[in-house]
Amino acid sequence: MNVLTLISPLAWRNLWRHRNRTLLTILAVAIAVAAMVILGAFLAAWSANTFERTTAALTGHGQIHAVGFTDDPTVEKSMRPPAGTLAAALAQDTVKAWTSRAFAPALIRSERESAPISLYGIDPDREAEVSFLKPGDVEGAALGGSRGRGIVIGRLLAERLQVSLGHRVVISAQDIDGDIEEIGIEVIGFYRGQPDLQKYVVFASLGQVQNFLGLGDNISEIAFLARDRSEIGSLTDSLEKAAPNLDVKRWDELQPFASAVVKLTNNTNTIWVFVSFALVSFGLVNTIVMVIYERMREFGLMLALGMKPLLVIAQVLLESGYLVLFGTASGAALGAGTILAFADGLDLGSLGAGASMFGASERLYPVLDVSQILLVCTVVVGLSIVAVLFPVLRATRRIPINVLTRAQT
Amino acid sequence: MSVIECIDVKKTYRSGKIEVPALRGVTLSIEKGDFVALTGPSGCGKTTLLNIIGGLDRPTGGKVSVEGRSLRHLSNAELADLRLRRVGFVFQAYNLVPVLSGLENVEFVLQLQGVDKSDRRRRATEILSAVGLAEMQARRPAELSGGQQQRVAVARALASNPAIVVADEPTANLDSKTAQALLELMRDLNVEEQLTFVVASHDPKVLDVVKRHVRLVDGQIHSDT
Repeated sequence: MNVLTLISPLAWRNLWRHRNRTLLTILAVAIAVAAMVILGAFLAAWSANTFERTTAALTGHGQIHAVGFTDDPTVEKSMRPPAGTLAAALAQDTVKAWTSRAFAPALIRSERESAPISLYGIDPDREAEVSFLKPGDVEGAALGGSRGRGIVIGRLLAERLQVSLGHRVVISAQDIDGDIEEIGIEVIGFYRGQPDLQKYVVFASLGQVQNFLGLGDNISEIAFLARDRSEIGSLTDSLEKAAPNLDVKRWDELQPFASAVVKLTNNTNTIWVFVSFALVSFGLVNTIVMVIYERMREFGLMLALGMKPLLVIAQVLLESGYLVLFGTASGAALGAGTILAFADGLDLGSLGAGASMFGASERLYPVLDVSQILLVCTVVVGLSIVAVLFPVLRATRRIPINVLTRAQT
Repeated sequence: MSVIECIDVKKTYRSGKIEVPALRGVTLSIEKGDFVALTGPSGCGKTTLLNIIGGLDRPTGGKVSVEGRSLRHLSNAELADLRLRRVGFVFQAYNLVPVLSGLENVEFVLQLQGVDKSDRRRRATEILSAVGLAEMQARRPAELSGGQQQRVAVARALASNPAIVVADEPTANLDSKTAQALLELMRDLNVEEQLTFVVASHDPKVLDVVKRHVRLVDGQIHSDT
């Protein structure tokens, strides 16, 4: 006997005996699945955005410093530029890009205002491959080369200092010998993006800062990008082996708050999927158990006619399967459509500084991840069948085989 | 050889600490081709005896055999198989699967038996024609009258080619004319096909068509004529 030929028409027709109830159940499943897909996509976008924004700021996928620099980032904690095994390790395929920087906490003064800053000496070409600071994104002149003159500052800092392009400012910082050095220098450009950094991060060429601080060829940090996000851990390990006397850290060790936000976002997604699924399963189990008790006589008739109890269970499970499949497919389509509708991004401007505080930019771009949608659908369909299995087994065991006659003697 | 053999059959229902005896030792032998009416007042044990004969229930004492096969040691699966292949059922109501047409209801048991599609369609059509429902076979139960539904139930009971057909109050929900027509259909099948019928009923019209009348009182056979 072909079991499906026997039970599938029964399950299908029974599904539509109570059209409104069936449609409501399908709608409930669809809305829950759509919510899982949509929120999942936005949370994934938030998580990816936070990661991209954090790593693109200046952190990279990881950094190398002299031991103690991350706890007390001062000029004295410098190191030699990469050479030997470290240079070889940075040249491996798994390294997408890397750059050296000189760093000092400093004070900047204009004619009207002063502000504490983080002064970075950078190699503009290499920096463009690692961080957000691309020459094309600089208003005015970009840093022209390793010996170029002038500084590039953020627009927000410029507003605070009340300076324009071409104005000169004074930067004071402690050099390698502990003496306070000052330099008068021209503001040649304003960089865009990264509003947090704009308030206090100032860029000059690497050679200029090295000279100013008396570092010679020494540098303060190396920032690197892995070829792929999944390779960050293994790359960091290999760099640690190549530079055992230096401090190699991953981005999540350098930016624990952003890392926590990414983890929280990913876990929120998982929690949301299971909360939504729990709601789906309650509705589904309620419908199916109601179906069984309503049709007790019918199932009793089938058993009396010689149908095996397993076939009755299979029929009810198939009905549940139809409900979940239709609901899941509709929900996935609704979710995918919503995500595509936001392909141009969702403006988080209404959240004010909130989004930025949590590491995300003001616009989120949810991505239609088909594999993620398929995973959600598989989880919902699979777990739904498991969820209804126990109540179905329990309820079908209560079907009295002589239900059609037992009220009479 | 008897088709049905009941020897000292007892059945006691328990509800908590209370025991209610429904059958108190029934001994009955039914031959092939018999048409037996089980009558008696409400609570006398007619349906209980019918359920036990049909393999829907198990006795608490005594022995029941169908076609020489004792039901005592059959598993639930074996009892289901017995009901599927050797017993036809006609109940008082809720006889048919609501979402299946008349034809599909008759085909249902054949499908459970594993009969292939063309054979079961041919056989179901023939039997529905034999009970006078050739034109109604595509209708679902809700679109059939009570009498037509019972005829479909009889057709379904016959479809599996059973050794016996047990019918519990088959005319209870029918008007007298329809009930008479149904009983005549059963009598014709009994005469022409030598099909064995055991019918539990309060309906005096049943006595006009049966060959044998067994009256139960208080779970025991009061008369057998």
